[in-house]
Order: sequence, then C-alpha cells, then structure tokens
Amino acid sequence: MQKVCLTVNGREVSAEIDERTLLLEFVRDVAGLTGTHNGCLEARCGCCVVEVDGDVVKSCNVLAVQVDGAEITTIEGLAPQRLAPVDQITTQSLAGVYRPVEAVRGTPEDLHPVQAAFHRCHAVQCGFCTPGMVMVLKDYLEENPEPTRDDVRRAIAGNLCRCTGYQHIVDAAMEAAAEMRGERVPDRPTHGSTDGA
Amino acid sequence: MTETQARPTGVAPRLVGTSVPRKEDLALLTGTARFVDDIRLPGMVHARILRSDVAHARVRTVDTAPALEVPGVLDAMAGAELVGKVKPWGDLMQDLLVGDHFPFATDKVLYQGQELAAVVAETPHQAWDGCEAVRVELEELPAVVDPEEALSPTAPLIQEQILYEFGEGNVFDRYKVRVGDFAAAEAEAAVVVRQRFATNKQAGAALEPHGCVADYDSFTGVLTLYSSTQSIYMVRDVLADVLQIPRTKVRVLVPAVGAGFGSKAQIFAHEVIASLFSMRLGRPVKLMLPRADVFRAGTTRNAQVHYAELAMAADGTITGYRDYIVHNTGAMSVWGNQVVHIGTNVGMLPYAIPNVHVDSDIVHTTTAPGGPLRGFGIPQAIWVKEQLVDMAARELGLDPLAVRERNVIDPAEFPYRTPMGHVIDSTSIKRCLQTCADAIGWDAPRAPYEGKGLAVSMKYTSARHPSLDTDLSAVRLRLETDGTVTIYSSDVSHGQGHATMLAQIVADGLGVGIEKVSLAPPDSMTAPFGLGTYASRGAAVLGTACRLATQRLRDKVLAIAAHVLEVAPEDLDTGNDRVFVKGLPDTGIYLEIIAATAAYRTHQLPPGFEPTLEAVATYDTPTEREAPDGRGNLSVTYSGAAHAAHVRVDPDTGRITVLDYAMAHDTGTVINPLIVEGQHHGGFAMGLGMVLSEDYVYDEQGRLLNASFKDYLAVTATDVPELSKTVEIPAPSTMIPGGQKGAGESGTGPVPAAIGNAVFDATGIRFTTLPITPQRMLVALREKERRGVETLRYPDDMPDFRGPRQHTDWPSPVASDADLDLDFDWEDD
Amino acid sequence: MRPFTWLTPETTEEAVALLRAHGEGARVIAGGQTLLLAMKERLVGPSHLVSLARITDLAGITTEPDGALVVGAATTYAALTRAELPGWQRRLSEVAGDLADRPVRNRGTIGGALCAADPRFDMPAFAVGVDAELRISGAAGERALPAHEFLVDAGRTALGQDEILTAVVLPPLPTWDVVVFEKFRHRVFDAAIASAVCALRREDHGVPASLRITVAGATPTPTVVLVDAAADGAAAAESAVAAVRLDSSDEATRYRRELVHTLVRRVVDRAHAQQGSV
Repeated sequence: MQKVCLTVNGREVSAEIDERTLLLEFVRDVAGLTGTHNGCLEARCGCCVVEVDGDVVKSCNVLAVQVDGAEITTIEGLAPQRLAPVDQITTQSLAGVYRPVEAVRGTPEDLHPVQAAFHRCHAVQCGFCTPGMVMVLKDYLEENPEPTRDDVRRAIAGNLCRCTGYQHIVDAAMEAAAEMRGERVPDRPTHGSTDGA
Repeated sequence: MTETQARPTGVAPRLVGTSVPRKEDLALLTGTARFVDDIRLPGMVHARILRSDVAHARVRTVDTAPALEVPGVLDAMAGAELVGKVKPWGDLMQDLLVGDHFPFATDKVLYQGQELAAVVAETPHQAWDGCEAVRVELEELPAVVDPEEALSPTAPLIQEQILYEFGEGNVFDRYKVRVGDFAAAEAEAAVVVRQRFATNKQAGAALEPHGCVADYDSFTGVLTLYSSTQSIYMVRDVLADVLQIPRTKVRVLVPAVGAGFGSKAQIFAHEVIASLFSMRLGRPVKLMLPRADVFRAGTTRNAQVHYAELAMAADGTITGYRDYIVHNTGAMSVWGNQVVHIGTNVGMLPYAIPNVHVDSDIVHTTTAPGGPLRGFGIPQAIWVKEQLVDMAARELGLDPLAVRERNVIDPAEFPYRTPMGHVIDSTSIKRCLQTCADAIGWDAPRAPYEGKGLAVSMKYTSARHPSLDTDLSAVRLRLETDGTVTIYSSDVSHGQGHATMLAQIVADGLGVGIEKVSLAPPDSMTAPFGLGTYASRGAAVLGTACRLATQRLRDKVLAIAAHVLEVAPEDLDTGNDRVFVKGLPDTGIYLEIIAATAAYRTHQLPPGFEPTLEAVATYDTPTEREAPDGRGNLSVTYSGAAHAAHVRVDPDTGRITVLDYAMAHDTGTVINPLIVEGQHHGGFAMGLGMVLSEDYVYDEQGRLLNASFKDYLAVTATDVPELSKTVEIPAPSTMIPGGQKGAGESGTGPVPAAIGNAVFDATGIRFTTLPITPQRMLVALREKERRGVETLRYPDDMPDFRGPRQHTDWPSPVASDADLDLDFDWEDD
Repeated sequence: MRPFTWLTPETTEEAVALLRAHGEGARVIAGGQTLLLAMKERLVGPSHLVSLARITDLAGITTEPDGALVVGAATTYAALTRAELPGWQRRLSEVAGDLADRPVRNRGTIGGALCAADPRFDMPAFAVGVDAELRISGAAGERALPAHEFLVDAGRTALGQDEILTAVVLPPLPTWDVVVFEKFRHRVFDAAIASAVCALRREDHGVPASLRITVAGATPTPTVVLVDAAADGAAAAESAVAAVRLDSSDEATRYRRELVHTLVRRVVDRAHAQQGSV
C-alpha cells in the first residue's frame, strides 16, 4: 500500500492505495468521479482522458503513484454543478434546468465552450467517449486557438467514437475554438430545414 | 393526413422537424451520467470470467477448487455444476429456440473466448487471481475458421449435441428465395455477371464494454440486473427462464448505455453468471467485460461468401439475381440466422427485381458468435449486388448512374408492391441517387488513380423477423400532478436521443413545454412491454406508440377541461402548457391544474371519469411474416440511401483516401434533423470501417489475432472524410402516422459498395473480399501491372487464390426445393 | 496487474542500486506507456518498479560542446515536440510530434521507446537512422553503445538487468546535411508498418559523400542499408529491398517489401532534393 495525495478538480484527495491502482481507478473509485470512463484499458479509445498538471493523459495507462502530488482535472472539473437551480418552487422554473440551445454558451457559470459546442452541434450520441473527447479538445484548443478541421481531426486521433462519424465533433471543436477566441458564435437555427445539406 | 396534423394552432412552434438540442446531453457532457460501470452498490463484489484461449476443444477438466483458496475469492463456478440447474438458451430459428447457449462450455469449447469458469472476489484483481488458479485441461480439436470449409463432409463437427430441424453437420439452418424464374431471365439477358464475393466479420465495438451488476435479494426473491443492453425484456425473459424464476422476480434496469449497434441486442452469458453469483452470495456482483472479451465473445457482423449472379437486359434493366450464400454465424448465435433473411429480402431493394433465386447455408465455424450489427445483413448484400450492377453496366457499356436511374423504384403509384413482396409506401430514392451523384461531380473527368462510385440501398424501418412474429413498441405516458410528463418505454436509448425525440412528439401533441417532458430510465418493473431498440425502429415504431399515447392522454385532458370550462372537447386546443378554447390561446387552464384535479380534486372530474392521467399505447407494425419462398413485407416502411464516393488510391502504398463523399437519404418525416444527420454520419463511419479496415483476423487454430483497439482498426477522425454533403430528401411514410422512417442504419448499407465501385473506377481492380486494406490494394496493383491487364478481380484472379475460378466450379447449394419444385439446374449455366 | 513494490530513487546511482538489489523482478518505469500495457494484461509482472520520475537529470535536452545533442532518456515526446532544435536535429521533434496521440505523447518517453525495442516504433528507427549513441549507467559504471547495437532483437536490448538507459545522443550537426524520415501506418495513432530514414552528408560542393539508409518496422530491428552515396531513390530502394530479405510470398510480406521500396525511394529522393543543411 502506498499513500497518494492528488488534487482533483481543486479538492485534495488522499488515500492509502494498492500500488496497482491506475489513475483512472483513483479518479473513479477514490475521488468518486465516474465521468472518466474505462473503454478499453489499453490507452487507445481515449474515454479516460484527464489532465495531469495541465497536460492530458490517458488515465488508464498511468499509475496513481506515478502522479502523486499532481493536480488532476477531470470532466467534472469543467463545469460547475448546477446546484439548486430552482429559485421558485413552480414547474415554470424547470425551464432553467433545461435551457434551449440559444442560451447555452461557454461561460464560467455555465459550460466550458467545448461542452457547450458539443451540445449545440449534436456532437454527443451515446456519450461514452464524450468526456475524453472534451478533455482532449479543451487542452488542444487552449494551445492551438486557430486550428483547421484537419488539425482537429489529428488532435482527436487518439479518441475513438463509434457513434458520430466525428463530423459533428469537428463542427463543435471549430465552434468552440471560435468562442474561446472571443468570437461570437452564430445562433444555430433549431428550425432546420430537412431538405438540403 | 392523420391526427398529427391537428396539432396546436399557432401557439408554440412545432418541435417535430426541428433540431431541438438533446435533453440527454448535459449529463453526458459533464460526467454526471451513470453507466453500468459507475454503479456502486453496498457490499458489491467483482466477478471475472475465465475464457478459453483455444477455439475448439473438448473440455476434460475445469476445476475451480484451487480458485477458492486464493485470498479474497468468495465463489467460483464452472459449467458442470450448472447442468440440469440452469436452462440453456439460444438461437432464434423459425419459431424454434435452440438451446445452444449455456453460461459455460461444458463438454466442448466452440470458439476462443467461450466461458470456462468464473470467479467472484472482493476486488477485480483478486477475481483475476482466482481465474488464474482455475485448473483447466482442454483437448484441442481442429478449428474451422473458413465457412466454406465448414460445409465439407470431412470438416470437424462443431455443434455435436444439437440436432437441427433444417440443417445437418455444421449447417444449422437454410434459407431460400424463389421469386420469378431466374433461369428464364438468365436465358434472355444481354449479360449475366457472376462473381464470388466474401465479406468480413466486423465488431460493433461500442465504446462502453458490455457489463452488468446483478443484485439478488433472497428475502423478496427479486433479482435486479443493471445491464448495458439494448432490450430489457429480451434480457429479462430469457434470464428468468434460464434461472427458472418468475419473470416478475427479475427486474432489468438500464443505466446510460454507451452504444450497441446491435451488439447488445440479446442476453449474454455474463449477465447469467453475475446473476448466479449474486444469488449464491446474496451480494451485488459487478461483471464488466474487458475489451478483449468484448471482441472475442461479443457478437460480430456475420461474414458471408456469395456466389452471386446478376442478369441485365441490353437497356440496363436488371432482370434477375441469383446467389448462393454461405453465411458464417460463428460458433453460435442468437440473431445471426435472421441476418441472412432480412439482409437478403430487404437487400434486393431499391430494385424491383422480378426474378430472384437465393439459397443460403447458415453455418457454424469456430469463430466468435455472429449477430446483428448496424445494417443487419444489408451492407453485405449491397456490397455484392451493387458491385454486380456496376460490372454489368460496364460490360454493356452503360453509365452506372444511368443504369441505376433506370432500375431504382420510382412507381407511378404508391403503395407499390415489389416482386419480393416489399410494400413501398413512398420513396425518393431516384432523386437521392441523382442528388448524390451530382454532389461529387459524377460526370467530371477523373484524375489518375482517382475514381468515383455509386451505391443505393433501401433499409427496413422495423422488422418482423422470421423467428419473432411481432414488431411492437409501447409507451406509457403519465401527466404528473404538477403538469410535467413522464414517458415510460422499454426501448433503450443508447445514443439515439429518445428522451429528446419522444419529448418532441409529446410536447407537440400535448402542447406542453419540452422541458417538462422526461423519459424514465428503462425498467422492466414499470415500462410497458416492447421489443427494444434495434432495426432502426425508434423514431417510427416507438415514435408512433408515443404519438398514440399522447393522443389518448390529450383526449383525457380535454375531457376534464371541457367539463370544467363547460365547453365541448372539440372546441378546445392545447398549447403553452394549457388547455384553451380555440382562438383564445392566452386563456385557459394550465395542465398542472388539470393534472391536480385528476389526482386531488376528483369531485370536479366529469361524471364517471376514471381519475388517472396515464395513457398506454402499443404499436405493432402491419408487416407480414416471411413466406416459404422468401417473399414478404417484413418492414413497415423503407428508408432510402444513395451514396457517391470519390476516392484516390496511392499507387505506392495502397492507401485509399476518400476525397469526397455525398449521402442523400430519404428518412421520411424527420423528427430531429440534427440527430438524424448524426445517425447518417455514424452509419457512414461504420460502413467505412467495414470496407477499408475492420475485420476479425484469425490464425489457423481459430485464435483471434486482433482482439484489441490497438490491432482492430476502428476508424479514427482522420480516416473519415468531411461529410458536409449529407442531404435529406424526405418522402414521408404513409404507413407511419407521423411519416417517419428509420434512420439508424441506412447510412451504413451503401458505403462498402460505393467505395468498392470507386476503387474499381480508380484502378481497374474489383475487390471481391472485404476489407480493402492498403495491403490488399497495393498487392493487387502490383499483380495487375505484372500481368499487364486492364482490369483484375482480386483476390479471385490471383495465382494463390484457392477458390473456384469458373462459375461451373461453384459449389451447389443444397437447400431443398422439394416444396417448391422449381427448375433449378446448376449444370446448365 | 500483479502486486509490485513502488520505488522512487532520486539519482541514477540509487536507481541502479535498487535494480541490482531486487534482481530479475525489478523493472525500470519512465512514462510507462508500453510497460503498463503489458502489466495490465499480466504479460509481465515485475516485483519492483523503479521509477525514473524523480531523477531530474534524466529528462531534458542539452547540447555538448561538439554539437552533439544529449536527450535524457526520460524526456517525453511532448517535450521533444516543443523543443527548438537546430538543423536536421529538429527531425527528432517532428518524429516525436507525429507518433501515438496527444495524451500518450505527454507520458511516453524516448528512452521508453528504445528500451521497448518495438520494431514498429519510430524512435528506434530514428536513433539508428542518424547513428545516435545511447548512454547507459550500470553497476559496473557508464558505457555507450551505437543505437543499432543497443537494439538486439524485437523487444530485446543490450541493456543489462541492472543498467539504465540514461540518454540518447544525436551526433553533432555536421555529421549530416539532410535527414529525412518517412513511415507508413494504418491510422494516425498506429505504430508504423514500415519506416525509413535517410541521412545524407554532402561534400563542400554539394556532392553526396555519405548516404545512410535505415529501414525499420518490416524487420525485427532497424536495418542499415549500405548504398553508394550517389544512389538515387530507385537504386537505393532496390538495395534496401534486397537487404531486408523479405522473401516470403505471402501477402503481408509482399506488402512490407513494397512499402520498404516506396519509403526508401521517397526518403532518398527527398534527401537529394533538399538543399543546404536541413
């Protein structure tokens, strides 16, 4: 057993753990944050990506003891929990829990721009790969504010998605990049035409 | 056309037809969504399965006693102790359940990865330690990897214990189609093209591995199973039967599911094993499959070998199709047998081919179980047929686009019945074809090593499977006492966005804000009975059930409002969370008042009104059962897909790059365009993997060599071209009240053939085996250069190709024609 | 994974002592991107893991007075990618930035790749290709080996049980004028099926003086092919194909042979076409 102390999403988490504990397992079982997923345990699918001291890693292929003392950011660290969203006890305030697309922007009190863009662009289907995709893109776009679509594709080449064909994910990354550069993201018409591209 | 047109009048915008962002997203985006591996129950322990490392063997010993000595191990089990205590389950065949599935191999191992024993321990590490301690003695037998070898009389017999009704040896079932007279069509044809094609075994490889948590309460006798599955009732009913406990004592709950694509549309041994452990220990048991196990023991796309022929008249009219299909469904299967039925029947579309003659032997091999996978046999059929169409067109000197325009279904009147029996209620497939061809510049000249290809398909929107005389989904709606609405359904959403799609229907139908509509998690204790989410049924079949339930709920709401307002129900409308007198949308009664009335102020209800605001509706499609000659309308409606590919081949490395790709789809009335577009994109990616990279690679001993994401070449973001040319040309279904057609799988069907045809256009090489890897591409190019030929079929034309070269060498199908007595003589060909 | 003891020495000497003390069961771990994959599958089960993470002088890049580039074995691919290197040595950054994927590059190290000796990895190919020297510390002291001698066989190196690879030394800039690396892989994050390196040195008037061709991926260890300095791509490719002896007629071998031909032709033609020192 080995004592490991990590700062996970700003909160200090320390425990006596089996040396074999992967960072993935520490995050999920010790810190109790299950948004980081185990898709393959072979560092291929990218569902387990978290940030360690600002750099993304595949947490299934890192021992917790290797990163003792590090700052970890997981998907749960990107957007604050919407605690007590109901300010009046009426059903009308439910609208605040589920806001229409126009309202969802990447703001600190809301979602990270990458998360918001994923929502607007329908870049999420089953959602299992999503946390890893979001973490990699957040890290990548912070370093590369003006990527091409091909750049984005290469950035997420270590993250598999079997649902989306990646098209909407790339769309979302491009929108998120624009928003992170401070550009205004055009409203997406929700009343889309069904005839036409 | 139906009640859907009578929706609220100008109060709130109609949501159906708009890209409402998904209600599911926020939990998935922020990590709060709970998948099965995220479940932690008090006292939960961890199980692991020991799987066979050899493909085919006689089981001599499986001794779990040493495992029990390992620290932390709580229990262990193997097959022998369960014989006579749990019931086998198995293949769905022609109304016949074949009990070839058991939690563990008992007498024989039939494929690498089959379950031998399982261990449950306090931690996953200890469970693995326990597995390593299990003593196993196997006597290895020769493997049968090649489905055609499985047909040989000298092939080792795989399933020894089961006597099949229709098959013998390794053939466990047969299938045939007899429509028209192919021999006559052949005699009159201007050209008959013939080719042997082989397709690959593709994995669903959903990113969330299969897994479950079983939790048995010995005092109530209730077994609760949380599982990553596409169908709660398929799991519940079989599990209850296997364990021989009442179905009401089995509760299947489904948390968020990380996709399935068909690979989770049945019960698996791990669900039984976890349940047994939990019943034996009285503790919750988690059993998550490692990725390699998902590859080895999950189901795969059925590989097929086709000996296919297509007859064409001089003007390009397709007059006949004949095929002999060796359908490899692996060592066992639950659904694999159905794939060739549906895939062939629906795979004949979008042509109304008058003469179709198909035989199929459905065979076992010592490979991973076959099953449903996005497209259910249609991508295989289209890969074969759409390449033959190109081959015939080229032999006749006709433009492949023109030939398809001539042949695709474009009747003057709907509904239109094809010779195969499909009832086409509407289609825009011809416009789809022209649109996608235009989008990639079909007529423009090609650069060297570049080529363009087309393929068209139509796909079922639901399916009345030969083994299941049912095609139903159900929805129960409850208007809660505060005016919110809960939807109960057993059809598991695993990426399709049911919570949003159904909420759009309910919101429009009831005039309630979409934010007030919620989908309950699938739970067999509360959900109405439905078949599950597969066969692209969600929007059309489940959507129709939801529409009907909404209508019924709305009628109840109006009845109460009419009584309170003292007007006739016909004078009322709903919208903005209210019921109001038509023309006065700013007045009226809030739904929450009406809901509360039905619950808490029952004296104010209309006389005799049953005080409940629940409504249940079930929709079973008006589809037909498959006839003995293979005819039948197995799907309620058919979506259309026309794809056009523009590829470049690197003559130095063999890499095939898709430069441009256009998809034109007819998905009928689309509920949520962005969701449907996402389905098409995803369907495309799976088709791309099928044609260019994904396959199960076995060695001669039947060991799977690429059971990992390192070696199994799932497509990545850089492999997929920009899919900005994705166009919807809706021809609303007239069978489905809302006009929807299935979206989930139609993006996959044409992809392999469109790219195969484009590769031929680029290189003159006709690939007869999937996938077209860079390796195959480059070796074929060199072979073509060496021989100095214009065109080459690969690998059939290769010196080391061992299959039959002449049509006359093709194996004769053995399906009995006794009951049909049709003229069928291979020697005349 | 099997249980192990976690050890975090602060110096190379301490690490070597630990390896010596714990014998065969002890393994060095740097980023762990290859080792952990095998450990999770229980393909290897070291009793002790000796982490290099706290030995600060094992990570980082320095230049020797003669211009040789000393790359600490525990330097990550990501660090290599960010490094600003002169002349042909910047190929190292480019190669490091175009392998595996972004998260893996943040953990994977150049030394780890060399010690894994996977024939399909890029770093062994590159190290042999530019004739890099590997520095080794052991109980018996320091030693150095050319990369091609370090790589003994697929998955096997010349490293003794109690030795640690400490640095990869790229030769001084004048050693080569041009270095070109090419590889072929299925997907962006896959290891190479075949790769080729061409290192070219010219005389004063630009006449090729020395041409070093290295082929990897298709053979158990990177193979150096001797060719005439003036050989063009086509000629070099023929020599390379003959040298790697991929004689079997099965499709996979034929394909690797073709790839070797293509990649060698490309690297050599590209090298000749490039002017000056790059």
